[in-house]
Amino acid sequence: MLSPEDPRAGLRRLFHRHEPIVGPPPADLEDRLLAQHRRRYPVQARGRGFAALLGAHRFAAAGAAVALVAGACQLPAEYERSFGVRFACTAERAAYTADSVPDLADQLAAAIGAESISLRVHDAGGPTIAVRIDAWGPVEDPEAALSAIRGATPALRDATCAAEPLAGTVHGTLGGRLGYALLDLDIDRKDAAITRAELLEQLRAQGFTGTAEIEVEEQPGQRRVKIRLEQP
Amino acid sequence: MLPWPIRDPLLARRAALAQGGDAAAMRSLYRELHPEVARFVGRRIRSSADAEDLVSRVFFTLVERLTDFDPRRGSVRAWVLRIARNAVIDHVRARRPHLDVDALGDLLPGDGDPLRDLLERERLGDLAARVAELPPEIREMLALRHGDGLRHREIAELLGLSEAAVKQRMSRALRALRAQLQLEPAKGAADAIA
Repeated sequence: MLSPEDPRAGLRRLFHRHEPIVGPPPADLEDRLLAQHRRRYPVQARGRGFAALLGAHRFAAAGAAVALVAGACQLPAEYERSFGVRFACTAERAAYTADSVPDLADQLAAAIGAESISLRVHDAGGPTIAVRIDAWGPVEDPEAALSAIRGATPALRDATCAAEPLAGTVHGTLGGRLGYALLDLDIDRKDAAITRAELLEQLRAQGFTGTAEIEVEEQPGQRRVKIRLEQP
Repeated sequence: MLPWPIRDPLLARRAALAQGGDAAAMRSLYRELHPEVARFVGRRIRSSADAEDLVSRVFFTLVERLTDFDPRRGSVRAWVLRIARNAVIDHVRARRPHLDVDALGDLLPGDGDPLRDLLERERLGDLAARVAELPPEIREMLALRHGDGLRHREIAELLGLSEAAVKQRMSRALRALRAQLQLEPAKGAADAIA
């Protein structure tokens, strides 16, 4: 019931009367936007990826072609990959109370902007406490993130902190290893059309300007990804 | 969906990555912001074809002006909604219809109790008539706050005002509305609900 004492509920109803039906973001608009984005903001050279691979090996003489076949992608394989950054800090105990942990977590999430954050505070009753922050997801600049942490969290402003990569060995598959090592992609779990589209997009994003033929064959127990690149 | 205090830095980081040519970040920005922009435009433009066209235009402008975004000056959401607002204003100026905010006479679906429905409609019609009498900039602030769910800071960024000014004007408008609603129904309210 609308109340004259508080018109805000009425205002919400008033301004939501013609609520539009909003569907999922259109894929064709996304394609056009990404194409425009590629033209406006070409990717700078990166240390790894197909562009670097082609550049390093000079496969790409005129008309030359390189074919990569990642067969039997479901074969087990182990590989190292990075998952984020761990910040290990030692802070004065006086700067911390047990009640401040939720606030600390909020401040850290806002400061770092990682996909998710794990926070562990170890208080052994001494003059200092140990704070371990695991920031999961890509953290572009750990030093800048550390500065942001100090700026946003009073309890850690004067703490001694060190950053180290969160990395580990993945007991995965050959497809996963190739996808991560070459294209930042997980080519095992998505359907063939999505895999093909993402491979093409990644190749273009990494500066590849030639033609690419990508075949994804689904077979019982394995996936075969065949990539043929031609750089004029 | 993450709350805005956490989404803001995430979106800002994606915008920074997209400025450097990261296609995945650009795709994430689009997918994350599209529903917000589509609702913002759709609330103001009745024609779905025109709204769709405007939303496309907003995102192409976003790509073109990506390097203009500066996280120190505000959130990605406020920035993109400012682009959307300008697109809506340009569209309306070109076609000269009224903004939907001015079309305040429709009836709400009832909940089955005829007397209750009638009272609700009368009160909403009264409120609609009162809102229609407010200055356009106050109406827009109310729409941004109560229709689009923007925070005071974002409304300030979008309209180029200080946060304190937005809070003060909206608070004053709400007080005035409250006082008026406790008096007799506005002139024209009966027409609005007829």
